[in-house]
Amino acid sequence: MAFTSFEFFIFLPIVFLLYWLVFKKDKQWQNGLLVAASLVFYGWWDWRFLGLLLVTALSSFFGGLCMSKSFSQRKRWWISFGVIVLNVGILVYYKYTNFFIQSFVDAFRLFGKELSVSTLHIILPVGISFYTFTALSYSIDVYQKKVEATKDILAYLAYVTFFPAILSGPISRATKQLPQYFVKRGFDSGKVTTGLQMLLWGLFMKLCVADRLGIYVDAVYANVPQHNGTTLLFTSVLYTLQIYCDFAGYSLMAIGSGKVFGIELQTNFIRPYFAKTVTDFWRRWHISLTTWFRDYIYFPMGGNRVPRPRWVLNIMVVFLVSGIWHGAAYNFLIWGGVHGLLQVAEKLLYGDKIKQISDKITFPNIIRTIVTFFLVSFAWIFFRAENVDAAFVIVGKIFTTHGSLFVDASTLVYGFLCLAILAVKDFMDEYWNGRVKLYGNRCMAVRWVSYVVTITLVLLFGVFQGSSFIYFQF
Amino acid sequence: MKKYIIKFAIFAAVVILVDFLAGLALDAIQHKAFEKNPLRFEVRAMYAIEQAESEVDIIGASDASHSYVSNMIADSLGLTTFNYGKDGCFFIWQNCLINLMLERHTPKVVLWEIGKGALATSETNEDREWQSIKDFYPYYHKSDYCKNLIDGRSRFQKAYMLSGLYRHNSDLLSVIEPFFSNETIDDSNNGYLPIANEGYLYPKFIDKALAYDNVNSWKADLLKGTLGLCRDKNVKVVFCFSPKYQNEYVEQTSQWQAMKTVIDEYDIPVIDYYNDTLFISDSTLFKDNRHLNDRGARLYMEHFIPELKQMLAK
Repeated sequence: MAFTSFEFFIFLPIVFLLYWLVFKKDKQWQNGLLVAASLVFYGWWDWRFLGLLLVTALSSFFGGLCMSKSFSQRKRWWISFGVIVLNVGILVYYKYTNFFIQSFVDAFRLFGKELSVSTLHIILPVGISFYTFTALSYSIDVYQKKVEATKDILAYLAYVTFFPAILSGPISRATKQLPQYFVKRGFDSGKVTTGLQMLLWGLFMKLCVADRLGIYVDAVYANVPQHNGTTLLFTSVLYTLQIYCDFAGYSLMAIGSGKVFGIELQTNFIRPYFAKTVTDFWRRWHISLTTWFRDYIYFPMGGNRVPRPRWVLNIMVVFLVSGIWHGAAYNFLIWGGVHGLLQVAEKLLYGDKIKQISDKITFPNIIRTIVTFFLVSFAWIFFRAENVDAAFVIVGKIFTTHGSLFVDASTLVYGFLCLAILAVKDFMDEYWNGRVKLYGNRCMAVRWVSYVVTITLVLLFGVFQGSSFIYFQF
Repeated sequence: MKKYIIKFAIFAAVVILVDFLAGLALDAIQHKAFEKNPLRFEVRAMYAIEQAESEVDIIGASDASHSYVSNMIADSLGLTTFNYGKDGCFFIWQNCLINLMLERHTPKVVLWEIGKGALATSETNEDREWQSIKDFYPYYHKSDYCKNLIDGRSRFQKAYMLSGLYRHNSDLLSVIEPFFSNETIDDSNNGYLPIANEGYLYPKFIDKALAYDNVNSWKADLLKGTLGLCRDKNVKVVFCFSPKYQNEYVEQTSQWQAMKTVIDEYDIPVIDYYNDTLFISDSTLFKDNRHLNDRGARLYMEHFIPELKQMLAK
């Protein structure tokens, strides 16, 4: 069940009431309920992959226990290596087998040899990229002694399988999220209210903006040959906004759902399109994933404390891996590569002065923000296109074929109206933080009117039973 | 905790009340807007259901609205003709429209540009197909057929339809627009929407097989139900396939085979110009791969109408 489905709006209150009224006795009861609810939630998608989820969760749990009982650094290394190989191996099998087979066939074709090898029918388990990274985070942190291995299996399972985050993150980190499951959560009405506010606003972002713009984007991308460069450029910009609202909306709903149970999940987005550089963009976009790559790949490779050529390699490796994490296709690799190159270019352009760019509204900053937005939009073309060839066709048409814009009046009017509301809110949060509060207003009437207006907007402009969240495919 | 639940319950009651009252208000405004300007394209379905009196009804999506010149058909057959085609409205919408129209009005002939792939489930079109059904939400409580069809959208559709605001989802623009515009539509074309003959690049022929090949048995049953109803009401249905500047090899698909079975079962006459050589040899007759321009539509009518006349004479 997706967060925007009717089933979820029945499921969540039931679990909420059970959690705070029936299973409130102690943390074991709370964790037990969360695990049961999470398995039901995950199994709703496809019960066949529950076993796989438990293999990942339990292998890292028992791996952690074995490491804690071993004093030999070598033995600990081998245990963690084994857990990583097992779980990455499962991820690679489900996600990349057909990619490797196809690449193998394509490589031979380059030499004029046709191989009769067919791809396998492998279903990608939903959320595998996310829960695998959550489990690996624990294994690596136990090995590095950043966290103690836990013997509390219920707490650990609740951490890995926690239903708000299991499908598309935010990716939980053992150092931050796991300790919450070791204590009993007390009911905090403020937290629950904040959580529900986040759920509501995330719903608005997903249904009213992302899915609304998605109608236009999907219609154009389904018929690229029939559209001119002007329409494709416009559509690329719309997709940039769509993917933000889709993923950030999802993350908000996940974080909000976590809060209603007293669990704090990691912030995943901080208004990324207000970034003034691509480097800044990656501090604001999918934060849980970028910090995971930073901590477990970039820093171990030396980070930026290495000679420049090596630093360039580190950046490119991280972004290429990030690209391939998103999808088993060359267009995702190119998307990641473009972002890596942009970061390298920024380092060459700005040097250390990049850290001195202020957050104020200045003319140079406005230009930087606009340029960054269009660079990121350009990269998203590779992300959205069906394949590399289609992406290059789109890019080519944008620069060569112009004409009148394809207009779908009602979709664009509703979409831009809701986008304008979102833009005003994000602008106020970025530059006037704390000054204008609607959801957080001290007056209950203002808060309630804000909630009712948002619900009205969702019912009037939301695209119901529309597409699933974009990041579910990863 | 209990205080919190009580507060939440009060809030929920407020939301339900606001939703109910807003729904009533929008229902009334929508009907007033329709009466102000019933010929607007956005309310084509409403016009068809509440005011249609034509003897020949043209039903379909954009390939219907841009391909069938109502006045040419009316002049030739001596029967009043209206083109109820609406862009982006596929099989389920067309099917529902015919059934609701027949609850009040009985035409002599229905010319249905049904689309050869209509009985399939297409991932790219499925969402749009169901989104277009919102045109019939005002009739949800007035027609059992409409209610059953809309409820079929999802398991919880009945719950969604309890909401007064949801019934007007994606409708606000068309509801309030007439009050801000003094434009009166004089539909002398009787629903036909001509596309300009120039001012754009003519299309290149596309030769690419359809991405999907399946039969949606629910759609097939819907179609049979509608054809049965037309037969009972003595309404002559003609399946029409206007020219396209592309070849999707749809005749090799199972959805087309399923449709042929229904055509044979209900003895439906067919006028098929899908890949007619006269049209696919001249790209200047098309705005794009799926739509004839006005010159193309009129040429099509010159061939279509004699065939239709022959068919109706039998």
